[in-house]
Amino acid sequence: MTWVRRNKLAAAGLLIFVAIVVVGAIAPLAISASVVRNVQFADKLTAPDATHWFGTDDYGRDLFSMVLLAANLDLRAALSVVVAAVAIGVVIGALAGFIERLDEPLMRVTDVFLSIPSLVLAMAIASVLGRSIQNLSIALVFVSWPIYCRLMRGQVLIEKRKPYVRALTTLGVGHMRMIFRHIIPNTLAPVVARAPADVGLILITMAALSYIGFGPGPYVPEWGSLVAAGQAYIFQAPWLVVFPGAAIFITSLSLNLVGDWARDAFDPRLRS
Amino acid sequence: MRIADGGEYALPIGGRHGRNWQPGRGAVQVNPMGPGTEDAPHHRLGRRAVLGMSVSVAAATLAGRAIAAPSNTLVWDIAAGPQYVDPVMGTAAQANVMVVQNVYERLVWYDGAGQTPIPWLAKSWKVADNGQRYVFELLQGIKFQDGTDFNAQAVKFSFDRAVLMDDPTGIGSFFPTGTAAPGILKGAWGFSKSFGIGKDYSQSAVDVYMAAGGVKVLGPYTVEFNLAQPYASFIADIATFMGSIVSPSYVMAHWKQPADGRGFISGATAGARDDWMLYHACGTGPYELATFDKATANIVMRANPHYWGGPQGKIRPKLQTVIVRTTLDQATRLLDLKAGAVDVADINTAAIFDVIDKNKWLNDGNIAPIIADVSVPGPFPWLTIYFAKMNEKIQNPDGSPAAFQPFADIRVRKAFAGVLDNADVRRNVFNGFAEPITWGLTPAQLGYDPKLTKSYSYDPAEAKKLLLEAGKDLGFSEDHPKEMDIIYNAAAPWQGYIATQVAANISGLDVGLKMNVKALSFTEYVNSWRSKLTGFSIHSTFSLTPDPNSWLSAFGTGAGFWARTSSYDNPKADALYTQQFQTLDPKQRAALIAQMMQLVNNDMDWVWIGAATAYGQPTFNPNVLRSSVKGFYYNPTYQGFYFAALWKE
Amino acid sequence: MGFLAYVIKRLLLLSLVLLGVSIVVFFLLRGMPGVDPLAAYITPGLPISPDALNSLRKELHLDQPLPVQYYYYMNGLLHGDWGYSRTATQDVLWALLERLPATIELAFTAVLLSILLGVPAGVIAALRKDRVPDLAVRVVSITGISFPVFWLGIILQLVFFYYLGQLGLPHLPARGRVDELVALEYPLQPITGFYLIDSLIEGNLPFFFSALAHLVLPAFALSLISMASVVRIMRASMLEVLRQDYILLARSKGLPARVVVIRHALRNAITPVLTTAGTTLGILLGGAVVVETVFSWPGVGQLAAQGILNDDSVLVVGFTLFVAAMMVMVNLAVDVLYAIVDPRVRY
Repeated sequence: MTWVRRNKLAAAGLLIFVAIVVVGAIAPLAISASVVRNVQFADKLTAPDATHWFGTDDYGRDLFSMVLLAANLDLRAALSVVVAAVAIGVVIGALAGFIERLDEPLMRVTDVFLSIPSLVLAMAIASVLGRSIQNLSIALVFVSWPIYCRLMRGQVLIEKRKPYVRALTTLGVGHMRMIFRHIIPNTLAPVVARAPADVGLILITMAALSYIGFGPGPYVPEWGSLVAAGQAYIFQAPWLVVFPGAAIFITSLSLNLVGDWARDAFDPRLRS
Repeated sequence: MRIADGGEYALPIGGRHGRNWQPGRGAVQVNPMGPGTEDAPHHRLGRRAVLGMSVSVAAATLAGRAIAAPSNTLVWDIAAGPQYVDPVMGTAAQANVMVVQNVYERLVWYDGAGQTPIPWLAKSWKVADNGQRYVFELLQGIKFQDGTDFNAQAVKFSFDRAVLMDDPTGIGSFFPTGTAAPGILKGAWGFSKSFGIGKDYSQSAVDVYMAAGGVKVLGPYTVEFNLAQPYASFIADIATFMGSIVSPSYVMAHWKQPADGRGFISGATAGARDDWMLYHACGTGPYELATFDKATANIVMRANPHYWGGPQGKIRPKLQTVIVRTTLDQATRLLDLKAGAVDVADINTAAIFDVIDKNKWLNDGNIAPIIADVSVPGPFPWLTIYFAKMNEKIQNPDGSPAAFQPFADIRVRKAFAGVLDNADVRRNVFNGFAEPITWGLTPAQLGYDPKLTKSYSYDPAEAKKLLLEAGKDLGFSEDHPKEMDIIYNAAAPWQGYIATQVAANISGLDVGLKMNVKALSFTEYVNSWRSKLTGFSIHSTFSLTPDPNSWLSAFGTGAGFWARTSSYDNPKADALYTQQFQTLDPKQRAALIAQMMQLVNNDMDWVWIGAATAYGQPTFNPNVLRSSVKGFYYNPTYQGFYFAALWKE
Repeated sequence: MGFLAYVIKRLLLLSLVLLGVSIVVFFLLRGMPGVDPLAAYITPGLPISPDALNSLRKELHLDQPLPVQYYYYMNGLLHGDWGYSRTATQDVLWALLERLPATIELAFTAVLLSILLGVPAGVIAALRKDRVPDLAVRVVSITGISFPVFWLGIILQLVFFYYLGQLGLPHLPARGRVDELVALEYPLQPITGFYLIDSLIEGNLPFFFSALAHLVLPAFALSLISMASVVRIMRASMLEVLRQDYILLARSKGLPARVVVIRHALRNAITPVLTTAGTTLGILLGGAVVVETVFSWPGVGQLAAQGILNDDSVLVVGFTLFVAAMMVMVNLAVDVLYAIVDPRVRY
């Protein structure tokens, strides 16, 4: 509990995020998926009231249900992107750091991906693959793994020189085992430092991609595409933009608060 | 990297001690603090910051004051700017045509709100040889904006140029070339490669076209047109932007002979675009194109001080400057309108209730603006229609026919037509800015018959019966359901609403059809229906001329643009089409058209959703005007505005 | 190693990176499974004869194996032929270069703003660590990046353009680079393409002020993307510096706190911020796609966004390569500057 007192912001962030995750997890159980296809033109664009807590959208669908269903989809997508990016980045980075011969080529490859700004690369990949949540996620994984790779490599380079590694090498422990059993578990700090904020960033990027036109379409509830679709009605029906936008904002904010703490706590190196 | 001894060091950016580093003129020094400065640099920064702020405020105020434009300038926030302004190009974009309409003029045109063409640059014309030869006497003394004379040579050049350049995006494939053999101008069809007829763009091909005599100069102010077949819409077609007369000397001044062996006439290269004329213009019209900024797609037009005044000599442009600014973001356009920063703004039909009162319009039919000092022109029977089409022969991506062909059965077609609640769509999707139509023409067009019967009406119960029956023959039922796709263009949400309604209604009938609605990117959407991959799709189309020909051919003839992709073919309708095409008497022609339309309606490949009635781009952005803009009148052939008629109070 | 050798080494490495980017980009354009590469080069909806399609295929070498295609593609790139964009109706490279100054002006101003606002905020947060100002600064800066940028854009327009205008107060413009009426009255001769610079060179003050006013809102919206990290880095760096011995020495000499902070601490602490300014530019180029669309800013980002709506893969891919090339050059410039400043870098 001293942790909570000392880090009020991070604790608040964690609480909010957990709440959102719970809501997102329950949503598909409580809300039927047919809401998405339920078109009632007569009801469209009505303001929030007792029956529709968030109002209705341009198809006449209940926005509250859409936002909750989108929570499920968005969280799953963002989390899976970050998990995949971390997995790939960590493995490649560890290999690059530990095995001399692989370092240069792997780092060049990483540099290639790092030279392209994330939104731009995601755009290019998505424009060729087509619009769907899966393709967007794939594009975002491509865009996110290089940072973790770099972080990991830096850590491994340092870790490599530590006495225990030399000791284990003398004992005959092979490279692969060394990397996966010993080194990676000890060097995950900067990765953990970065990951929470990254989830928030992915959410925002998905929203931006939907705004530009890569959204998965009106039948896939996703916060970003809800906001993008609501842009046209921003004066008539501001709730279309406010509620999903607030959802993105609050989720991202809570993650950033946690991420801020994580950075300070896990990675003093980042301060310089 | 820092040197941790606390002593002097030079900063990498902006520091004055870096070797070979010179801040460029106007480059901002990021850190003005160099080493060893005596006074606290913080103060200097502070003062600079204050100065900067006051400058910004001054600028903002200046900007604020500059926004209220002088009363002889019109500012328009347009949703999509022009791509090019050469009259031989650019069909779909309203903005392209809008510029062309104000800068160039034609031999015949429409007087004000009238719908019958009157002589404009021409004095008179004679028709001979059963409608295959037109001789025009031209007005004398008219000058192009570059000071050269308008004469028969200029007319011939303008049309020959359109044929020879044969641009696939442009009107070379419609008029004056035509869309089917033998074409319109003599020799044009044989030259054009658009439909795979012409073989090359060599000099000999050019010479063959020129020798065919499609356009002949008979005297300095007399020009003759020879057509390959009698064509009833000829006058209507040359009254559109497709008949614009271009200044030959202006074009030639910026034209270079091709170096790659293509054929040419002086001023036009066969099969090639004219890069200069894409973005510059010189006509006889009341406005000159002052600037066309490619990056912003902004246009500035200025009144032509030497304008000849039109056939009555009375037209004098009152607006000295017209500024058209491309503003992609709908919310920004609305803000500009509300703030009074613009005189005209394109407001999306979906957002029209930001501008007018919803209930007064939907229930009483009154356009009552809720923003101060604006008006929304309309409702007018605009030349845009919305329809759904059903493909009788669906194909697989590899070109082979699909196994399941629901729309080959007229009962299925009737059923699908019967679940589309057109009235609901017109009210809730188009927000009331659409009127019912009996055929693929708008009520304003020649030949439109309000008494035509459609063989379907909104009747879900009937639809269910028909589908249960058809299901027995086609092999679908509740126990053995089949899946079907409805596609739409993801960038056109209105199509999505309609698609969703149809899908939900069909699925709700429980007859064994599972409907999927797919939002496709524009390219995929176009490829999908062009390659006949799709069964049911929703479209809009607009016509450049009030003449019914283009839609009659598109919907009613086997080779027609829309009919092709639906595998629709009715030889009787084809025959009627050719007949009316060549019938010069309007009454006879109208009767033939009505016959043809009824025939096509009985086949039920098309669902006529409605005709647009909001004045504005075919892409559903009605133009909203400030009430200080006066002089607007509606002419269905206009795209955008004819600025010479407008003024501000 | 000598300075020149270091520069050459970096140049070679970065060229390698660019080559890698070109391979990735080429693969996207021509090598995606299930996608017909010809589709990117045709305008949908136009009648095209099979003959024309075939000759186009030959012209683009689409019938050759991929490595051969890559050779022709690279050859084209190096000769300035980046393909034709049907969105811009001009060659891709030209279209991008024409619009580049607008984006640079915007991005640069955004970086500037994020530093001008972020550095003082970070300093304050460090000086008042864990107290209210610190928390406030951190929450505000995190809030800045938690907003979807396009949402922020419209809110800025609403507040600073519309509502201020309604209240009769001086307000900021919401679209474009300059007021069209001012541009007509006081035309500008383009020299560098940067409106602020050109108007000052020519002494065209009304144009200058108008362009400046138009920069404010979009640059601010864009700057928020990087501001949080500027604040964070500045704060961390400042905290680190404040712990150093020489600071203690200065304080013990009796120098007032403010002088200590500004003259000694700040100068040393600010370096990491400036390092990241280079990479921040890259992030901003991505964010510019959205900001330019919202504010009708005629830069490369807006063009790319239109290209996407148009399915103009040639343009989108060309844009990707273009941006990567710019990032690489910026990185090179930063590396070179470091080499000038700190000899230890040239290992």
